[in-house]
Amino acid sequence: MSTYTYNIVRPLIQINNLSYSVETKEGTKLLLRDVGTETNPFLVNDITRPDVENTGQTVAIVGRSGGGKSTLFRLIAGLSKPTSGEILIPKHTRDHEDLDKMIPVKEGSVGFVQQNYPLSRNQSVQGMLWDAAVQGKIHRKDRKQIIEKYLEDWGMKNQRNQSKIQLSGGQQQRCAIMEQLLCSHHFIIFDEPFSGLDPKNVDGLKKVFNQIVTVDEINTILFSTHDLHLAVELADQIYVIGYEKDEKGEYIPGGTIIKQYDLKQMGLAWRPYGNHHQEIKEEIKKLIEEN
Amino acid sequence: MVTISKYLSPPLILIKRLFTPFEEIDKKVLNTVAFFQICLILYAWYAWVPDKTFFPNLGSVLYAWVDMWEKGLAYHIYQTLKLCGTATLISIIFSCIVAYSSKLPFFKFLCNLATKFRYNPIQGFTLFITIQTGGGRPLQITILVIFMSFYFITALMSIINDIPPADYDRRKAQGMGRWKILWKVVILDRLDYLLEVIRQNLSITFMMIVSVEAMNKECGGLGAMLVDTNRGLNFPNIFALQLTILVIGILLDTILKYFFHRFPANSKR
Repeated sequence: MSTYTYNIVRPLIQINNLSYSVETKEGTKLLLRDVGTETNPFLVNDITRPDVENTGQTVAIVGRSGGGKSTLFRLIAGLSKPTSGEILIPKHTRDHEDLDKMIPVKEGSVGFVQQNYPLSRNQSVQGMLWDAAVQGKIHRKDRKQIIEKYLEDWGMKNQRNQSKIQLSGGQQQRCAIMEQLLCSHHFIIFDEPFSGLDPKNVDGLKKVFNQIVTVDEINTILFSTHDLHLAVELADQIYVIGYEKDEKGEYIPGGTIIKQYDLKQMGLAWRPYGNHHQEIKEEIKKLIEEN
Repeated sequence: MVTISKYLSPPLILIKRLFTPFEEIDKKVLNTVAFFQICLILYAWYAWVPDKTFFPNLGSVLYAWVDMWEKGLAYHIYQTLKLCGTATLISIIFSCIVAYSSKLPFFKFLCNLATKFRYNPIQGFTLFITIQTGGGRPLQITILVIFMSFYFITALMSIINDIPPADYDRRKAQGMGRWKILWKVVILDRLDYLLEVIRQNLSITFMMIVSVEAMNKECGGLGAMLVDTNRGLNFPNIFALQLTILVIGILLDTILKYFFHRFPANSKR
Protein backbone atom coordinates (compact mmCIF):
# COMPACT_ATOMS: atom_id res chain seq x y z
CA MET A 1 0.00 0.00 0.00
CA SER A 2 3.04 2.26 -0.12
CA THR A 3 1.66 3.91 -3.27
CA TYR A 4 -0.90 5.76 -1.17
CA THR A 5 1.46 7.03 1.51
CA TYR A 6 3.04 10.47 1.14
CA ASN A 7 5.31 13.04 2.75
CA ILE A 8 4.62 16.75 3.03
CA VAL A 9 7.52 18.77 1.63
CA ARG A 10 6.49 22.42 1.63
CA PRO A 11 3.45 24.68 1.24
CA LEU A 12 2.48 25.52 -2.35
CA ILE A 13 -0.57 27.71 -1.94
CA GLN A 14 -1.39 29.36 1.34
CA ILE A 15 -4.29 31.74 1.90
CA ASN A 16 -4.30 33.83 5.06
CA ASN A 17 -7.42 35.62 6.35
CA LEU A 18 -8.60 36.63 2.90
CA SER A 19 -11.58 38.92 2.44
CA TYR A 20 -12.82 40.61 -0.68
CA SER A 21 -15.52 43.21 -1.09
CA VAL A 22 -16.71 45.43 -3.92
CA GLU A 23 -18.41 48.81 -3.98
CA THR A 24 -21.95 48.72 -5.35
CA LYS A 25 -24.77 51.27 -5.56
CA GLU A 26 -26.19 49.76 -2.38
CA GLY A 27 -22.86 50.13 -0.58
CA THR A 28 -19.99 47.77 0.17
CA LYS A 29 -20.74 44.17 -0.70
CA LEU A 30 -18.68 41.45 0.94
CA LEU A 31 -18.07 38.64 -1.56
CA LEU A 32 -15.53 36.55 0.34
CA ARG A 33 -14.93 36.44 4.07
CA ASP A 34 -12.16 34.96 6.20
CA VAL A 35 -10.82 32.40 3.75
CA GLY A 36 -7.86 30.59 5.28
CA THR A 37 -8.06 31.04 9.05
CA GLU A 38 -6.21 29.19 11.75
CA THR A 39 -9.23 27.04 12.50
CA ASN A 40 -10.13 26.55 8.85
CA PRO A 41 -6.90 26.83 6.84
CA PHE A 42 -6.57 26.98 3.08
CA LEU A 43 -3.28 25.24 2.46
CA VAL A 44 -2.11 23.16 -0.48
CA ASN A 45 1.11 21.28 0.23
CA ASP A 46 3.75 19.86 -2.04
CA ILE A 47 3.95 16.16 -1.37
CA THR A 48 6.10 13.27 -2.49
CA ARG A 49 5.06 9.66 -2.79
CA PRO A 50 7.33 6.63 -2.68
CA ASP A 51 7.74 4.98 -6.10
CA VAL A 52 5.98 7.86 -7.84
CA GLU A 53 8.19 10.27 -9.76
CA ASN A 54 6.03 13.39 -9.81
CA THR A 55 2.94 14.01 -7.73
CA GLY A 56 1.29 17.29 -8.51
CA GLN A 57 -1.75 18.53 -6.63
CA THR A 58 -5.35 18.55 -7.79
CA VAL A 59 -7.61 20.77 -5.73
CA ALA A 60 -11.34 21.12 -6.30
CA ILE A 61 -13.42 24.07 -5.16
CA VAL A 62 -17.11 23.28 -5.04
CA GLY A 63 -20.17 25.18 -3.97
CA ARG A 64 -23.33 26.83 -5.16
CA SER A 65 -23.36 29.33 -8.01
CA GLY A 66 -22.70 32.81 -6.64
CA GLY A 67 -20.86 31.42 -3.63
CA GLY A 68 -17.60 33.10 -4.59
CA LYS A 69 -15.68 30.37 -6.48
CA SER A 70 -14.87 32.54 -9.49
CA THR A 71 -14.02 35.49 -7.25
CA LEU A 72 -11.63 33.31 -5.27
CA PHE A 73 -10.03 32.10 -8.52
CA ARG A 74 -9.54 35.65 -9.77
CA LEU A 75 -7.83 36.49 -6.48
CA ILE A 76 -5.59 33.42 -6.62
CA ALA A 77 -4.69 34.30 -10.23
CA GLY A 78 -3.75 37.79 -9.08
CA LEU A 79 -6.36 39.38 -11.35
CA SER A 80 -8.07 41.07 -8.39
CA LYS A 81 -6.50 42.37 -5.22
CA PRO A 82 -7.86 41.15 -1.86
CA THR A 83 -9.45 43.72 0.42
CA SER A 84 -7.56 42.11 3.28
CA GLY A 85 -5.40 39.05 3.78
CA GLU A 86 -2.91 37.45 1.40
CA ILE A 87 -2.33 34.57 -0.97
CA LEU A 88 1.17 33.13 -0.98
CA ILE A 89 2.90 30.87 -3.49
CA PRO A 90 6.55 29.78 -3.78
CA LYS A 91 8.92 32.04 -5.68
CA HIS A 92 9.31 30.48 -9.10
CA THR A 93 10.20 31.40 -12.64
CA ARG A 94 11.37 29.26 -15.53
CA ASP A 95 15.01 30.04 -14.78
CA HIS A 96 14.94 30.30 -11.03
CA GLU A 97 13.12 28.53 -8.25
CA ASP A 98 13.35 29.33 -4.58
CA LEU A 99 10.48 27.15 -3.52
CA ASP A 100 10.97 27.59 0.19
CA LYS A 101 10.39 31.33 -0.07
CA MET A 102 6.67 32.17 -0.14
CA ILE A 103 5.70 35.41 -1.90
CA PRO A 104 2.33 37.14 -2.48
CA VAL A 105 0.70 36.08 -5.73
CA LYS A 106 0.74 38.62 -8.52
CA GLU A 107 -0.81 38.98 -11.96
CA GLY A 108 0.79 36.45 -14.29
CA SER A 109 2.24 34.08 -11.71
CA VAL A 110 -0.73 31.69 -11.79
CA GLY A 111 -2.22 30.35 -15.01
CA PHE A 112 -5.93 30.84 -15.54
CA VAL A 113 -7.93 28.75 -18.00
CA GLN A 114 -11.24 30.55 -18.15
CA GLN A 115 -14.63 28.99 -18.64
CA ASN A 116 -15.12 29.83 -22.33
CA TYR A 117 -11.47 29.47 -23.35
CA PRO A 118 -10.90 32.97 -24.74
CA LEU A 119 -8.27 32.96 -27.49
CA SER A 120 -6.98 35.53 -29.95
CA ARG A 121 -9.30 36.22 -32.88
CA ASN A 122 -6.61 36.97 -35.42
CA GLN A 123 -3.83 34.56 -34.52
CA SER A 124 -3.11 31.00 -35.52
CA VAL A 125 -2.64 28.33 -32.84
CA GLN A 126 1.09 28.50 -33.51
CA GLY A 127 1.09 32.30 -33.14
CA MET A 128 -0.75 32.12 -29.83
CA LEU A 129 1.68 29.51 -28.49
CA TRP A 130 4.60 31.64 -29.66
CA ASP A 131 3.25 34.59 -27.64
CA ALA A 132 2.85 32.32 -24.61
CA ALA A 133 6.41 31.00 -25.04
CA VAL A 134 7.71 34.58 -25.16
CA GLN A 135 5.84 35.31 -21.91
CA GLY A 136 7.25 32.10 -20.43
CA LYS A 137 10.74 33.45 -21.23
CA ILE A 138 11.63 30.40 -23.31
CA HIS A 139 14.83 31.18 -25.19
CA ARG A 140 14.21 32.22 -28.80
CA LYS A 141 16.25 29.35 -30.25
CA ASP A 142 14.30 26.74 -28.26
CA ARG A 143 10.83 28.19 -28.83
CA LYS A 144 10.07 26.56 -32.16
CA GLN A 145 11.14 23.13 -30.97
CA ILE A 146 9.19 23.35 -27.70
CA ILE A 147 6.02 24.57 -29.46
CA GLU A 148 6.42 21.72 -31.94
CA LYS A 149 6.56 19.23 -29.07
CA TYR A 150 3.48 20.71 -27.45
CA LEU A 151 1.54 20.53 -30.72
CA GLU A 152 2.58 16.91 -31.12
CA ASP A 153 1.84 15.90 -27.51
CA TRP A 154 -1.56 17.58 -27.45
CA GLY A 155 -2.65 16.32 -30.87
CA MET A 156 -2.86 19.78 -32.42
CA LYS A 157 -0.27 19.43 -35.20
CA ASN A 158 -2.84 19.64 -37.96
CA GLN A 159 -4.45 22.72 -36.43
CA ARG A 160 -1.25 24.74 -36.10
CA ASN A 161 -2.29 27.28 -38.74
CA GLN A 162 -5.93 27.47 -37.79
CA SER A 163 -7.52 30.37 -35.97
CA LYS A 164 -9.98 30.28 -33.07
CA ILE A 165 -13.03 30.27 -35.34
CA GLN A 166 -11.75 27.13 -37.10
CA LEU A 167 -11.15 25.13 -33.90
CA SER A 168 -13.67 22.87 -32.19
CA GLY A 169 -14.53 23.47 -28.51
CA GLY A 170 -12.13 20.73 -27.39
CA GLN A 171 -9.30 22.10 -29.53
CA GLN A 172 -9.86 25.63 -28.16
CA GLN A 173 -9.65 24.19 -24.66
CA ARG A 174 -6.37 22.39 -25.41
CA CYS A 175 -4.91 25.53 -26.97
CA ALA A 176 -5.87 27.59 -23.88
CA ILE A 177 -4.21 25.00 -21.60
CA MET A 178 -1.05 24.81 -23.72
CA GLU A 179 -0.74 28.59 -23.55
CA GLN A 180 -0.79 28.51 -19.76
CA LEU A 181 1.73 25.66 -19.57
CA LEU A 182 4.10 27.45 -21.95
CA CYS A 183 3.93 30.53 -19.75
CA SER A 184 5.77 28.45 -17.21
CA HIS A 185 2.81 28.15 -14.88
CA HIS A 186 3.16 25.49 -12.23
CA PHE A 187 -0.19 26.62 -10.86
CA ILE A 188 -3.17 26.46 -13.18
CA ILE A 189 -6.73 27.38 -12.38
CA PHE A 190 -9.58 25.87 -14.38
CA ASP A 191 -12.89 27.67 -13.97
CA GLU A 192 -15.70 25.17 -14.59
CA PRO A 193 -13.66 23.16 -17.12
CA PHE A 194 -16.18 20.32 -17.39
CA SER A 195 -19.32 22.37 -17.99
CA GLY A 196 -20.87 21.67 -21.36
CA LEU A 197 -18.44 18.89 -22.31
CA ASP A 198 -19.61 15.61 -23.78
CA PRO A 199 -18.41 12.35 -22.10
CA LYS A 200 -15.55 11.92 -24.59
CA ASN A 201 -14.22 15.41 -23.91
CA VAL A 202 -14.63 14.90 -20.15
CA ASP A 203 -12.39 11.83 -20.44
CA GLY A 204 -9.96 13.84 -22.54
CA LEU A 205 -9.78 16.57 -19.91
CA LYS A 206 -9.25 14.02 -17.13
CA LYS A 207 -6.19 12.80 -19.06
CA VAL A 208 -5.03 16.40 -19.44
CA PHE A 209 -5.26 16.88 -15.68
CA ASN A 210 -3.24 13.72 -15.15
CA GLN A 211 -0.71 14.86 -17.75
CA ILE A 212 -0.22 18.22 -16.00
CA VAL A 213 0.21 16.87 -12.48
CA THR A 214 2.63 14.15 -13.48
CA VAL A 215 4.96 16.45 -15.45
CA ASP A 216 6.35 18.40 -12.49
CA GLU A 217 6.41 17.87 -8.77
CA ILE A 218 5.00 21.28 -7.89
CA ASN A 219 2.41 21.45 -10.67
CA THR A 220 -0.93 22.26 -9.06
CA ILE A 221 -4.38 22.33 -10.56
CA LEU A 222 -7.24 24.19 -8.93
CA PHE A 223 -10.60 23.62 -10.54
CA SER A 224 -14.22 24.38 -9.84
CA THR A 225 -17.08 22.15 -10.83
CA HIS A 226 -20.74 21.48 -10.11
CA ASP A 227 -20.16 17.80 -10.85
CA LEU A 228 -19.38 16.45 -7.39
CA HIS A 229 -18.62 12.99 -8.75
CA LEU A 230 -15.78 14.45 -10.83
CA ALA A 231 -14.57 16.56 -7.92
CA VAL A 232 -14.28 13.55 -5.62
CA GLU A 233 -12.83 11.37 -8.38
CA LEU A 234 -10.11 13.75 -9.53
CA ALA A 235 -9.15 15.89 -6.57
CA ASP A 236 -6.91 15.02 -3.69
CA GLN A 237 -8.18 17.99 -1.73
CA ILE A 238 -11.67 19.54 -1.85
CA TYR A 239 -12.76 22.90 -0.49
CA VAL A 240 -16.47 23.57 -0.10
CA ILE A 241 -17.36 27.22 -0.41
CA GLY A 242 -20.63 28.63 0.88
CA TYR A 243 -22.30 30.88 3.42
CA GLU A 244 -22.12 30.26 7.16
CA LYS A 245 -25.08 30.88 9.45
CA ASP A 246 -25.04 32.90 12.66
CA GLU A 247 -26.61 31.84 15.99
CA LYS A 248 -30.02 33.02 14.79
CA GLY A 249 -29.74 30.81 11.75
CA GLU A 250 -29.32 33.72 9.33
CA TYR A 251 -26.70 33.71 6.59
CA ILE A 252 -23.56 35.74 7.29
CA PRO A 253 -22.61 37.86 4.24
CA GLY A 254 -19.58 36.75 2.23
CA GLY A 255 -18.74 33.29 0.98
CA THR A 256 -16.16 31.33 2.91
CA ILE A 257 -14.67 27.84 3.13
CA ILE A 258 -17.24 25.90 5.09
CA LYS A 259 -15.43 22.60 4.95
CA GLN A 260 -12.38 20.97 3.47
CA TYR A 261 -11.74 17.35 2.63
CA ASP A 262 -8.16 16.15 2.41
CA LEU A 263 -8.65 12.99 0.40
CA LYS A 264 -4.95 12.13 0.75
CA GLN A 265 -5.26 12.11 4.51
CA MET A 266 -8.48 10.12 4.26
CA GLY A 267 -6.70 7.56 2.10
CA LEU A 268 -9.01 8.18 -0.84
CA ALA A 269 -6.72 10.08 -3.20
CA TRP A 270 -5.24 8.32 -6.25
CA ARG A 271 -7.63 5.40 -5.80
CA PRO A 272 -10.41 4.34 -8.16
CA TYR A 273 -13.82 5.81 -7.35
CA GLY A 274 -15.53 3.58 -4.79
CA ASN A 275 -18.10 3.50 -2.02
CA HIS A 276 -16.12 5.79 0.25
CA HIS A 277 -15.86 8.37 -2.51
CA GLN A 278 -19.61 8.10 -3.01
CA GLU A 279 -20.19 8.77 0.70
CA ILE A 280 -18.01 11.88 0.57
CA LYS A 281 -19.88 13.02 -2.52
CA GLU A 282 -23.24 12.67 -0.76
CA GLU A 283 -21.91 14.50 2.29
CA ILE A 284 -20.68 17.43 0.17
CA LYS A 285 -23.97 17.50 -1.71
CA LYS A 286 -25.90 17.80 1.56
CA LEU A 287 -23.52 20.45 2.81
CA ILE A 288 -23.97 22.57 -0.33
CA GLU A 289 -27.75 22.24 -0.15
CA GLU A 290 -27.77 23.40 3.46
CA ASN A 291 -25.48 26.37 2.85
CA MET B 1 -47.65 14.14 -43.74
CA VAL B 2 -48.20 14.75 -47.48
CA THR B 3 -46.40 17.81 -48.81
CA ILE B 4 -47.07 19.66 -52.03
CA SER B 5 -43.37 19.29 -53.02
CA LYS B 6 -44.04 15.65 -53.79
CA TYR B 7 -46.06 16.63 -56.83
CA LEU B 8 -43.80 19.41 -58.14
CA SER B 9 -41.09 19.15 -60.82
CA PRO B 10 -37.48 20.11 -59.80
CA PRO B 11 -37.60 23.68 -61.23
CA LEU B 12 -40.88 24.34 -59.40
CA ILE B 13 -39.41 22.95 -56.18
CA LEU B 14 -36.47 25.33 -56.54
CA ILE B 15 -38.83 28.27 -57.10
CA LYS B 16 -40.82 27.24 -54.04
CA ARG B 17 -37.60 27.07 -51.99
CA LEU B 18 -36.55 30.52 -53.22
CA PHE B 19 -39.73 31.92 -51.71
CA THR B 20 -39.49 29.97 -48.44
CA PRO B 21 -38.00 31.82 -45.42
CA PHE B 22 -34.60 30.61 -44.11
CA GLU B 23 -34.01 28.16 -46.96
CA GLU B 24 -30.35 27.36 -47.64
CA ILE B 25 -29.82 27.92 -51.36
CA ASP B 26 -26.67 27.10 -53.34
CA LYS B 27 -24.51 30.20 -53.96
CA LYS B 28 -24.37 29.54 -57.72
CA VAL B 29 -28.16 29.53 -57.88
CA LEU B 30 -28.35 32.80 -55.93
CA ASN B 31 -25.76 34.42 -58.23
CA THR B 32 -27.77 33.33 -61.27
CA VAL B 33 -30.92 34.79 -59.72
CA ALA B 34 -29.06 38.06 -59.04
CA PHE B 35 -27.82 38.19 -62.65
CA PHE B 36 -31.35 37.75 -64.01
CA GLN B 37 -32.67 40.41 -61.62
CA ILE B 38 -30.11 42.95 -62.91
CA CYS B 39 -30.96 42.02 -66.51
CA LEU B 40 -34.65 42.47 -65.74
CA ILE B 41 -34.12 45.92 -64.20
CA LEU B 42 -32.01 47.02 -67.18
CA TYR B 43 -34.56 45.63 -69.64
CA ALA B 44 -37.41 47.36 -67.81
CA TRP B 45 -35.47 50.61 -67.91
CA TYR B 46 -34.72 50.14 -71.61
CA ALA B 47 -38.15 49.01 -72.70
CA TRP B 48 -40.61 50.85 -70.47
CA VAL B 49 -39.15 54.33 -70.01
CA PRO B 50 -40.27 56.56 -72.91
CA ASP B 51 -37.84 58.91 -74.64
CA LYS B 52 -39.11 62.31 -73.69
CA THR B 53 -39.54 62.37 -69.91
CA PHE B 54 -37.52 63.78 -67.02
CA PHE B 55 -36.48 60.20 -66.25
CA PRO B 56 -33.85 59.41 -68.90
CA ASN B 57 -33.94 56.04 -70.64
CA LEU B 58 -31.09 53.53 -70.56
CA GLY B 59 -29.79 54.39 -74.02
CA SER B 60 -29.40 58.10 -73.30
CA VAL B 61 -27.65 57.43 -70.00
CA LEU B 62 -25.16 55.06 -71.63
CA TYR B 63 -24.58 57.59 -74.40
CA ALA B 64 -24.01 60.34 -71.82
CA TRP B 65 -21.55 58.13 -69.92
CA VAL B 66 -19.47 57.43 -73.05
CA ASP B 67 -19.52 61.14 -73.84
CA MET B 68 -18.32 62.07 -70.36
CA TRP B 69 -15.63 59.38 -70.46
CA GLU B 70 -14.27 60.91 -73.64
CA LYS B 71 -14.28 64.32 -71.96
CA GLY B 72 -12.17 63.19 -69.00
CA LEU B 73 -14.43 61.30 -66.56
CA ALA B 74 -11.46 59.06 -65.65
CA TYR B 75 -9.54 62.11 -64.36
CA HIS B 76 -12.46 63.10 -62.11
CA ILE B 77 -12.84 59.54 -60.81
CA TYR B 78 -9.12 59.57 -59.99
CA GLN B 79 -9.45 62.91 -58.17
CA THR B 80 -12.42 61.64 -56.15
CA LEU B 81 -10.62 58.42 -55.20
CA LYS B 82 -7.47 60.36 -54.30
CA LEU B 83 -9.41 62.73 -52.05
CA CYS B 84 -11.39 59.87 -50.50
CA GLY B 85 -8.23 57.78 -49.92
CA THR B 86 -6.18 60.61 -48.43
CA ALA B 87 -8.97 61.79 -46.12
CA THR B 88 -9.82 58.22 -45.04
CA LEU B 89 -6.19 57.41 -44.25
CA ILE B 90 -5.64 60.56 -42.17
CA SER B 91 -9.01 60.17 -40.50
CA ILE B 92 -8.57 56.50 -39.58
CA ILE B 93 -5.08 57.14 -38.12
CA PHE B 94 -6.41 60.07 -36.07
CA SER B 95 -9.50 58.09 -35.00
CA CYS B 96 -7.40 55.09 -33.95
CA ILE B 97 -5.18 57.28 -31.79
CA VAL B 98 -8.25 58.81 -30.09
CA ALA B 99 -10.12 55.50 -29.72
CA TYR B 100 -7.13 53.54 -28.41
CA SER B 101 -6.37 56.39 -25.98
CA SER B 102 -9.77 55.78 -24.39
CA LYS B 103 -8.18 52.83 -22.57
CA LEU B 104 -5.95 55.28 -20.69
CA PRO B 105 -8.06 56.55 -17.78
CA PHE B 106 -6.80 60.13 -18.24
CA PHE B 107 -8.22 60.36 -21.79
CA LYS B 108 -11.43 58.42 -21.19
CA PHE B 109 -13.68 61.48 -20.79
CA LEU B 110 -12.19 63.36 -23.74
CA CYS B 111 -12.52 60.32 -26.02
CA ASN B 112 -16.16 59.84 -25.04
CA LEU B 113 -16.75 63.54 -25.62
CA ALA B 114 -15.27 63.23 -29.13
CA THR B 115 -17.99 60.76 -30.09
CA LYS B 116 -20.68 63.36 -29.28
CA PHE B 117 -19.33 65.82 -31.85
CA ARG B 118 -20.98 63.84 -34.61
CA TYR B 119 -24.18 65.73 -33.70
CA ASN B 120 -22.53 69.00 -34.75
CA PRO B 121 -23.28 70.07 -38.33
CA ILE B 122 -20.00 70.72 -40.16
CA GLN B 123 -21.51 73.65 -42.10
CA GLY B 124 -21.13 75.89 -39.06
CA PHE B 125 -17.35 75.50 -39.20
CA THR B 126 -16.88 75.73 -42.98
CA LEU B 127 -15.94 79.41 -43.05
CA PHE B 128 -13.53 79.01 -40.15
CA ILE B 129 -11.83 76.00 -41.79
CA THR B 130 -11.68 77.82 -45.15
CA ILE B 131 -9.83 80.73 -43.55
CA GLN B 132 -7.51 78.37 -41.67
CA THR B 133 -6.66 76.12 -44.63
CA GLY B 134 -6.76 78.70 -47.41
CA GLY B 135 -9.31 76.70 -49.41
CA GLY B 136 -8.60 74.24 -52.24
CA ARG B 137 -7.59 70.66 -51.60
CA PRO B 138 -6.49 71.23 -47.95
CA LEU B 139 -9.98 72.57 -47.19
CA GLN B 140 -11.63 69.52 -48.77
CA ILE B 141 -9.36 67.09 -46.91
CA THR B 142 -9.76 68.90 -43.57
CA ILE B 143 -13.55 68.94 -43.76
CA LEU B 144 -13.71 65.28 -44.76
CA VAL B 145 -11.24 64.23 -42.05
CA ILE B 146 -13.18 66.09 -39.34
CA PHE B 147 -16.52 64.80 -40.57
CA MET B 148 -15.40 61.18 -40.97
CA SER B 149 -13.38 61.06 -37.75
CA PHE B 150 -16.37 61.55 -35.48
CA TYR B 151 -18.08 58.55 -37.06
CA PHE B 152 -14.89 56.45 -37.08
CA ILE B 153 -14.16 57.27 -33.43
CA THR B 154 -17.72 56.36 -32.40
CA ALA B 155 -17.58 53.03 -34.27
CA LEU B 156 -14.08 52.16 -33.02
CA MET B 157 -14.90 53.01 -29.42
CA SER B 158 -17.97 50.82 -29.61
CA ILE B 159 -15.78 47.92 -30.80
CA ILE B 160 -13.17 48.55 -28.09
CA ASN B 161 -15.82 48.79 -25.37
CA ASP B 162 -17.28 45.46 -26.49
CA ILE B 163 -14.01 43.55 -25.91
CA PRO B 164 -14.86 40.85 -23.36
CA PRO B 165 -13.00 41.27 -20.02
CA ALA B 166 -11.98 37.58 -20.39
CA ASP B 167 -9.69 38.59 -23.30
CA TYR B 168 -7.76 40.97 -21.04
CA ASP B 169 -7.70 38.44 -18.19
CA ARG B 170 -6.21 35.81 -20.49
CA ARG B 171 -3.29 38.05 -21.37
CA LYS B 172 -2.88 39.25 -17.79
CA ALA B 173 -2.69 35.62 -16.63
CA GLN B 174 0.04 35.12 -19.23
CA GLY B 175 2.01 37.82 -17.47
CA MET B 176 1.77 40.48 -20.18
CA GLY B 177 2.27 44.11 -19.23
CA ARG B 178 -0.56 46.60 -19.71
CA TRP B 179 0.91 48.27 -22.84
CA LYS B 180 1.51 44.89 -24.43
CA ILE B 181 -2.10 43.92 -23.68
CA LEU B 182 -3.26 47.14 -25.35
CA TRP B 183 -1.18 46.27 -28.40
CA LYS B 184 -2.15 42.58 -28.56
CA VAL B 185 -5.81 42.63 -27.53
CA VAL B 186 -7.10 46.06 -28.51
CA ILE B 187 -5.01 46.85 -31.59
CA LEU B 188 -3.66 43.71 -33.28
CA ASP B 189 -6.48 41.34 -32.46
CA ARG B 190 -9.09 43.78 -33.78
CA LEU B 191 -7.26 45.12 -36.81
CA ASP B 192 -9.85 43.62 -39.15
CA TYR B 193 -12.53 45.81 -37.57
CA LEU B 194 -10.73 48.89 -38.93
CA LEU B 195 -11.60 47.74 -42.45
CA GLU B 196 -15.15 47.03 -41.37
CA VAL B 197 -15.48 50.49 -39.78
CA ILE B 198 -14.24 52.10 -43.02
CA ARG B 199 -16.60 49.94 -45.07
CA GLN B 200 -19.62 50.67 -42.87
CA ASN B 201 -18.96 54.42 -43.04
CA LEU B 202 -18.04 54.52 -46.74
CA SER B 203 -21.56 55.50 -47.75
CA ILE B 204 -21.44 58.53 -45.42
CA THR B 205 -18.02 59.43 -46.84
CA PHE B 206 -19.36 59.24 -50.39
CA MET B 207 -22.41 61.29 -49.48
CA MET B 208 -20.12 63.95 -48.04
CA ILE B 209 -17.50 63.84 -50.78
CA VAL B 210 -19.90 65.24 -53.37
CA SER B 211 -20.66 68.30 -51.23
CA VAL B 212 -16.99 68.77 -50.36
CA GLU B 213 -15.83 68.59 -53.98
CA ALA B 214 -18.50 71.06 -54.94
CA MET B 215 -16.91 73.60 -52.55
CA ASN B 216 -13.90 73.90 -54.81
CA LYS B 217 -14.59 72.74 -58.32
CA GLU B 218 -11.12 73.58 -59.57
CA CYS B 219 -9.77 70.45 -57.90
CA GLY B 220 -12.10 68.33 -60.01
CA GLY B 221 -13.81 65.15 -58.90
CA LEU B 222 -17.18 63.55 -59.45
CA GLY B 223 -18.84 65.94 -56.99
CA ALA B 224 -17.68 68.97 -58.94
CA MET B 225 -18.91 67.37 -62.18
CA LEU B 226 -22.26 66.55 -60.62
CA VAL B 227 -22.87 70.13 -59.50
CA ASP B 228 -22.07 71.45 -62.99
CA THR B 229 -24.30 68.85 -64.60
CA ASN B 230 -27.15 69.59 -62.17
CA ARG B 231 -27.12 73.24 -63.18
CA GLY B 232 -27.67 72.35 -66.84
CA LEU B 233 -30.54 69.99 -65.94
CA ASN B 234 -28.80 67.39 -68.06
CA PHE B 235 -30.58 64.35 -66.63
CA PRO B 236 -28.83 61.61 -68.67
CA ASN B 237 -25.48 62.99 -67.48
CA ILE B 238 -26.71 63.23 -63.87
CA PHE B 239 -27.88 59.61 -63.97
CA ALA B 240 -24.62 58.48 -65.58
CA LEU B 241 -22.62 60.23 -62.85
CA GLN B 242 -24.81 58.84 -60.07
CA LEU B 243 -24.39 55.34 -61.47
CA THR B 244 -20.62 55.86 -61.70
CA ILE B 245 -20.49 56.89 -58.02
CA LEU B 246 -22.66 53.89 -57.11
CA VAL B 247 -20.44 51.44 -59.02
CA ILE B 248 -17.24 52.89 -57.48
CA GLY B 249 -18.85 52.64 -54.02
CA ILE B 250 -19.80 49.00 -54.63
CA LEU B 251 -16.29 48.21 -55.91
CA LEU B 252 -14.60 49.78 -52.86
CA ASP B 253 -17.06 47.99 -50.60
CA THR B 254 -16.24 44.66 -52.29
CA ILE B 255 -12.47 45.23 -52.04
CA LEU B 256 -12.68 46.10 -48.33
CA LYS B 257 -14.92 43.10 -47.72
CA TYR B 258 -12.42 40.87 -49.53
CA PHE B 259 -9.54 42.00 -47.29
CA PHE B 260 -11.76 41.77 -44.20
CA HIS B 261 -12.35 38.10 -44.93
CA ARG B 262 -8.61 37.47 -45.37
CA PHE B 263 -8.16 37.96 -41.60
CA PRO B 264 -8.07 34.69 -39.59
CA ALA B 265 -11.01 35.81 -37.43
CA ASN B 266 -13.28 36.00 -40.48
CA SER B 267 -11.98 33.07 -42.48
CA LYS B 268 -14.44 30.35 -43.23
CA ARG B 269 -14.16 26.98 -41.54
